[in-house]
Amino acid sequence: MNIEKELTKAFNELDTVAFDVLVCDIELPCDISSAEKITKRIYSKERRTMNRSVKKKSTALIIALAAAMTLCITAGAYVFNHKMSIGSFFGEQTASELENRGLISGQVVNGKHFDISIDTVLSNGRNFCIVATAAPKDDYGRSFASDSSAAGRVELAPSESADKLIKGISASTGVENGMIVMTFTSELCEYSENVTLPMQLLINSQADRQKGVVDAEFELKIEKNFDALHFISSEGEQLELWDFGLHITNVQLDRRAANDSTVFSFMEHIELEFSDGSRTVLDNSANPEASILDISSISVNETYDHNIEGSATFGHLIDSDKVTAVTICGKSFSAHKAVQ
Amino acid sequence: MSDAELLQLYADDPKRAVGITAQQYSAYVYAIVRDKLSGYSEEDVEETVNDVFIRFWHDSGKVDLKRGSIKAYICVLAKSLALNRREKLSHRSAELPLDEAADVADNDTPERKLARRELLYKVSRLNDTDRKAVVMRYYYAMPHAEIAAQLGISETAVRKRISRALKKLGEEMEGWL
Repeated sequence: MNIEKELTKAFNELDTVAFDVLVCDIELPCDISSAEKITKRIYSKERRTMNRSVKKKSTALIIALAAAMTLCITAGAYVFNHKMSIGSFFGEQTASELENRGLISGQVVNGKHFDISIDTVLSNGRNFCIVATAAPKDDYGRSFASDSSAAGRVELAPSESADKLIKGISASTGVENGMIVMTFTSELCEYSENVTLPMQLLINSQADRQKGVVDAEFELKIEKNFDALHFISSEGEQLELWDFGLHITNVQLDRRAANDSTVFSFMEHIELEFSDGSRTVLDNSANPEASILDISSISVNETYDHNIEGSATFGHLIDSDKVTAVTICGKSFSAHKAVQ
Repeated sequence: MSDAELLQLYADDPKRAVGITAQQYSAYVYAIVRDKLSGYSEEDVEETVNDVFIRFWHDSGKVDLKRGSIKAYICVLAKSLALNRREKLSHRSAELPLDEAADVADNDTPERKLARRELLYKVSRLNDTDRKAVVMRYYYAMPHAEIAAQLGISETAVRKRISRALKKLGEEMEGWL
């Protein structure tokens, strides 16, 4: 018997009650500088970027869209259906609108185990959203397209050199007709109407999601195709709104107003007031089983002094030109002027 | 500030509460995490330490002080998260280093678990100085020199006390393990 090994195992199993009996009276000195580092890291703007992608709930809509075989490109045994891929995340109506606006892309990238179609790239010059489809080329690729869990290991990601160009990433994955459909939402560090972003398709290790193998590398052109409108609150806090999302800056948080303790709760209820007097509420909790949710992803930073900066990507396009007021985080923002 | 007051502060002013908690308990958390993640990067250590305080903040509403102090919750959480992270980082195979294998309670039987509870009971029955030395060495993985400074005795005395305590525990656990 190795008493040291048994002691180590026993201490690993210590619960809170046993801890207080055995260990509690041992005092270690306070480490103020480490404590300051920890607190700053937890609250700092750079580190506490939290992202949540809300995965699509059902594929029922896809059956309807499969009949609309527009803008199809063949890749091996698979046919890319851009409108179907876009519709799987944003709904049939949004897919049709994007098609009408000429915003369905035809870029195809050849990778080792997948061919990748860039279905659409939406950008307001700062916030952008990509929908892409990965069609497997071999048995190894097909093994990932068998179910959502395996498909989750395949992701679009910025190359290392792109890290300085963007901040805050949200991504989600689904499986449709044997192909992997992905969204990638992020924000450019600097406003640009035309930028090229080096990207890659990664296949992540099952054991460690931080380690991935590059299946394909390509350059993604992000051209501004939506305008952002400027809104302001009575306290001077700012909000930008565009057809597929919004962004808030320097909004002072009142934590007592939140129903739960996470900062996401401030971004999960959005009310839009239109020029004709009508109102729309975007709130996933209102209809959690909907096939297309109101808000598909949220990215939020909370700074040390309770200011938040956050973005929300909508689950479908809105007509932002007609919006006169936005309520979020318990605050009302009125239309100010067009930003660009 | 009492534990109850600190828990209330998480509801009223979480920023301040996290700061106070980190100030009071970062030394314990670092000791535990560094021990379990020795051989891994400092970045992994820092991330795990952050995770402990973030998780405690999120779970602060569920803490029941009748079942343990805040220090107990944080230290138990630190150990759990560090072990989880180590499991994710390491390769779970025959190449697992021996010192890591010691932590793995594989092939555990109810009898062995009972024996370890008995072992902890016997640790609690050691004299105060010996118990503290054993806990500092095997729970917090503190070096002998640091234990000596904490207890106000020489490093040689620490080594002798721990060696004697282990011998006594080994003899008392004969037949249990």
